[in-house]
Amino acid sequence: MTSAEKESRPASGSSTEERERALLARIAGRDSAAMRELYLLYHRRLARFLMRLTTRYELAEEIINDTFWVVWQHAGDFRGASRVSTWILGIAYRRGLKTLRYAGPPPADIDIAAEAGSEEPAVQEELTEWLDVALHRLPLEQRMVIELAYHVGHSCEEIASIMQCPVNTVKTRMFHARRKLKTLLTTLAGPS
Amino acid sequence: MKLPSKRPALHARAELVIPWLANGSLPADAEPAVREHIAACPQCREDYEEQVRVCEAMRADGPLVFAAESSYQKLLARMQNPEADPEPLEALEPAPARAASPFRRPPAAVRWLAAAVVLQAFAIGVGAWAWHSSLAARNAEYMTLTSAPQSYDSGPRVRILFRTDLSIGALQGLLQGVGAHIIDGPADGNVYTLGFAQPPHSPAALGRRIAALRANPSVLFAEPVQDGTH
Repeated sequence: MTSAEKESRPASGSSTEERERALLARIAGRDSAAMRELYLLYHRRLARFLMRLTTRYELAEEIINDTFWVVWQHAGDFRGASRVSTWILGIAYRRGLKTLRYAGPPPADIDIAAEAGSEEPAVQEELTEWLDVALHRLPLEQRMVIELAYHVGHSCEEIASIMQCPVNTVKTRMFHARRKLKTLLTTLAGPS
Repeated sequence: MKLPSKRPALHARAELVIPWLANGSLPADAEPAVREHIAACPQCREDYEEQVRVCEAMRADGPLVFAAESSYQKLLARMQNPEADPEPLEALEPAPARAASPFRRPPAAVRWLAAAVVLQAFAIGVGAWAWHSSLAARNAEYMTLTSAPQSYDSGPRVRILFRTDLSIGALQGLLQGVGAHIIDGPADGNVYTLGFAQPPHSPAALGRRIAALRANPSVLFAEPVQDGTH
């Protein structure tokens, strides 16, 4: 089993999930200390996810707070049909899409050709840096599937729930995203 | 060697779920068949190994630094004064197949941003004279930050808005910490443009410097300048 696989395993059905559900229950009772704890638990994860979605820091920050405003108001409505992270990321995703519709499209794409010719980053960082560039060239839905699966560690079914689309649509988006990423990463790596 | 007739179907199925084998979320009952196929199929094995590399790279800590506590304080203020919130936001557990409804109003985040920009512009306008007077009075000190001999015609730039109560000393420390110089501004809304004496070599490296700027509470925003917008 790879380290990536090991890392995502504990998230489901683990004490982490129990802890987050307990925090939600306290938030439903208007416990602001529990709110702060859950907020700080999720802030980095949401910030990273929403930066991929919006590519704008100030929007990501606002969407995080909008998301947790919903959590504060509706924690008591959480029925436990999904993991807490699926619920929260689903809210963040929908708030993010709405915000993007009014805030306009993200900044122009990064020039892949120019980046390919830029100074070589350190070896251990190069894949991460090229991924940052390549992911911005993917359509939003494909980028989000990659982010939710590989960074957050969600299952195909959970991603379908977050993005409110069929499971097969998630698989198809992931399939095309992988193909495009492979091509983009090859371009960035330059001639071997 | 002729492939068994079931292989194309297995191959197609495995190919679609490889990412979830790589991230460890594939259901346990589906995993053995997929692993068995991967062991026998060089194409899927190569794909799987590549997806594991991508997955591990994406889980590595990125350059983003966010000030979670200060953001939470903004939310706390909202929680403590809910009547001031312009609009109750929708909840809600994900409902597959529910169509997105048309919006009559911009979402709260955008309206809050717009309101914040207006208020900020007003507040900054009131404070701008004093701040610039202060800068002028300490011109020599300021120029050491901004008059570097290097040309900034090329290389990434960053638009930045400082708090009006930022001191010269703090500004110096902030800019020196990321190797930046003020190369233009103030433009509308007192936004300045920064350049770098030694430009970052990649978008990620630029992202790290911007993250460092944003982590400073005296920076109200910092964004990379896109081509054609400066």
